[in-house]
Amino acid sequence: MIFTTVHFILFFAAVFPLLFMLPKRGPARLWFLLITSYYFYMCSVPWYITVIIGITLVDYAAGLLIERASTPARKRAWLGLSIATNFGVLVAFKYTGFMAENINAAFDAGFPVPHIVLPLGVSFHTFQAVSYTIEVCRGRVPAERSLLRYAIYVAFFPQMVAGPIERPHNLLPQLHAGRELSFDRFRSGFVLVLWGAFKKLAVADLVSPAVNTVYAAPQQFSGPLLALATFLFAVQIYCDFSGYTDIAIGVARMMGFDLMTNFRQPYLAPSIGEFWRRWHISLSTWFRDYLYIPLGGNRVGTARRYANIMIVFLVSGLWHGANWTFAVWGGLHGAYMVIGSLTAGARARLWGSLGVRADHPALALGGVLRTFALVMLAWVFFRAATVRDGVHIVRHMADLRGFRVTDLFTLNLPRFEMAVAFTLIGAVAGAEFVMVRRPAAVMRAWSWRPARWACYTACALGTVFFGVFEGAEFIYFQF
Amino acid sequence: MGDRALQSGAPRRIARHCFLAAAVFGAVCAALWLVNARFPYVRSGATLVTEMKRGLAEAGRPFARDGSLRVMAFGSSKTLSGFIPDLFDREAARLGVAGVESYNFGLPGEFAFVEEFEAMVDRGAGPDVALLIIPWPAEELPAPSVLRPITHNRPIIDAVFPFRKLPRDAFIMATESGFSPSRFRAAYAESERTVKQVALDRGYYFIARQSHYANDQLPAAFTAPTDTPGQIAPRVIPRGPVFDRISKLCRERGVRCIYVPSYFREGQYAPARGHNPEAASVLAGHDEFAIVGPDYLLYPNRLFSDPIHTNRVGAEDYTRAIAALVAPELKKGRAAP
Repeated sequence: MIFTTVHFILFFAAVFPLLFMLPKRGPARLWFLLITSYYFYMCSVPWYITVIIGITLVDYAAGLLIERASTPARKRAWLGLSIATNFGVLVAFKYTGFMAENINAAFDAGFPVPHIVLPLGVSFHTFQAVSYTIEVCRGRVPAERSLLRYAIYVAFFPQMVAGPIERPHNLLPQLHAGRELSFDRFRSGFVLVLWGAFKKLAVADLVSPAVNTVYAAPQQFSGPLLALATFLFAVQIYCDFSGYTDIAIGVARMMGFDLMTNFRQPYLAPSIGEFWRRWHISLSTWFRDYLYIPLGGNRVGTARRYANIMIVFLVSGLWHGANWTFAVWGGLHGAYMVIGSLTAGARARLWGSLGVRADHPALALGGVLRTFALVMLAWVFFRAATVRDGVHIVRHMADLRGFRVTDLFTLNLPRFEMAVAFTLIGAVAGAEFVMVRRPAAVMRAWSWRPARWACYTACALGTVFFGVFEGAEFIYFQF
Repeated sequence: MGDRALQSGAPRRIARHCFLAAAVFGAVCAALWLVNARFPYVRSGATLVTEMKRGLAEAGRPFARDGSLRVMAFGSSKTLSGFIPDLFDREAARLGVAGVESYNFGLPGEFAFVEEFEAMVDRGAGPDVALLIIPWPAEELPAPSVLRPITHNRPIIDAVFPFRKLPRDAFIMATESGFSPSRFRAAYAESERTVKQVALDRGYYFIARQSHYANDQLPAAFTAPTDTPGQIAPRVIPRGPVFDRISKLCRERGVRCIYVPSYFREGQYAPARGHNPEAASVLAGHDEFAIVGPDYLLYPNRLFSDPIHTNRVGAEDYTRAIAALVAPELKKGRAAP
């Protein structure tokens, strides 16, 4: 089921009141949450629910066995079983075809290449399940005794298909404590849902035809159009994914649950390192906690540390999709991090010798623009169908030859929609900027009811007027 | 007051605020609905034409004469701006098919026409011959089920918020009028006349708002980045539920469907093959269908008003070409009892 559909509106309108009508004590609410979560998931490919149930049973048992294991070796063995099961599912569904293709290409092996429909959000819930068994093995959380609660931890419908990738110490305790219906939580959750739907429907889906048109045949477009499409993709993926996350967090909050923050205005980050502390936070912290630190983290030598950074980003790239384009995307971000770290001292000395303070606003602005440009460059490979297409786009983005203003009309975005798209992009960027730079002023304005209601109405009307209601899936659902 | 006491009033407070929000939003929507209803011609030409044709399919009579051979051209905006019924009738008569009465059912921005087609045939207001200029979507959405009770969101949203396009259309009309009230009023009156003219022209509509070049002619040197002059664009006739629906309708109601070529700019694609064996093989064994001509016709830029649609002269050329291609099939229809 997709959040931005009439089906979901009706689903949630039924689930929300029914949930709180059920007795707070006892398992009724939990059973209700599990059934509705499984229904939510089954609305895509119904029989894939067996995959969810399978990994739930394995990891539930693994958690208990890890806790009861008498030696560290046994704990590690049970953990290994859990990790192998989860990543086995991931590899089987997501990477089998990719591996067969590459083996065929390298050795002319002739393996059949299966085309498997990916279970919705398989990368998300397998990572969430693995984080549970790792944390139990580390002794940071107790194994969950209740299979019902653990099943909801894996399948909680607001976040099961595209995150945030929750941690057991955050979500499981909330399933133990009875959730209260609270007006303030309902209101703030509702506002997040409204804002997320606006970003998804009125911005991301509005610019999507232009991006699709250019990236379907990049060789046919001039440099400025390639650059414009890439900029629009940067906007699209942010509004799409952060829009989804806002709705997920908002829906969960209305039901009394707190999910992790996943985005903090990433395009205002002054460096790539900071970008990764603001973009898809639940995934970047997952890789930090469960891959980077076990590899040695910052406690190893410089060369090894840089190698670890590259490994983490390459794996993160391939996590997104079984295609070399994602590996290039991850590799580019790894390279940015390494180069940024290598040149940090020299840059500080340069600005010092020029008498420019480290906190000078121009430097900050330059950092934000530089970071956005680098991120945009990497998005080319994230979106391109092949590495060859990505290289073509990067090579020709700055090439102004052959460009005519009338070419803008070939972007599959009529003039009015283009004007609206840029206005709404400006509105989203302005809102995010003000929230970061003037939080106190925002809170003051927000406390004034007419301003608040004007914002609600504008957001809702903006979505109604400019939203694209074709039931387009969220980009991150494919991962 | 403790937290528990605060929360205990939450359901009532939430319900009150939901009601308030619905009331505020409902009042704004009601105001917009009234404006939308009061000014029915603050619409894009595409919307006006679509509304008019859908209304006709539901309750009108596209064909006026008794005993005529009724021909209806279905398609997208290319059909809308490329097929002139009055000229088609005269050309058919010139080619020996007398008594033809045609109608242009091209819908801008739409590929779906089957429901309208069925509705007209059911009411006895449908055609004897349907000219299909574009393929229908290959896949029909699955039937509603418990897991997917709503398969298509947009019609619901459009029905709940019929004023959704009002800001867009009002803004475009205002910009085209230079934000002058008198010119805005003139544009509004022009829209009203357009609808009447489309009715008089039996569905043909020149898409004036997309014509930005002198004399409604695309410059001779115009090319688009998406042009692939070295490639052909073969017509694909997808088999599937939509095909089956049309086939069934035609067989049961005696309607004949003729596939006719579409059109493109010279240089947009390579010239089409004279015959498309793949498309023909799809139709093999289906006597209710016929396929005539190549997959598409190519015309010089001067016959286009924008990169996609013909101007009036181009539409005349295209209509004559279609008449020449279908005349032998229409004669067969006339000869049939």
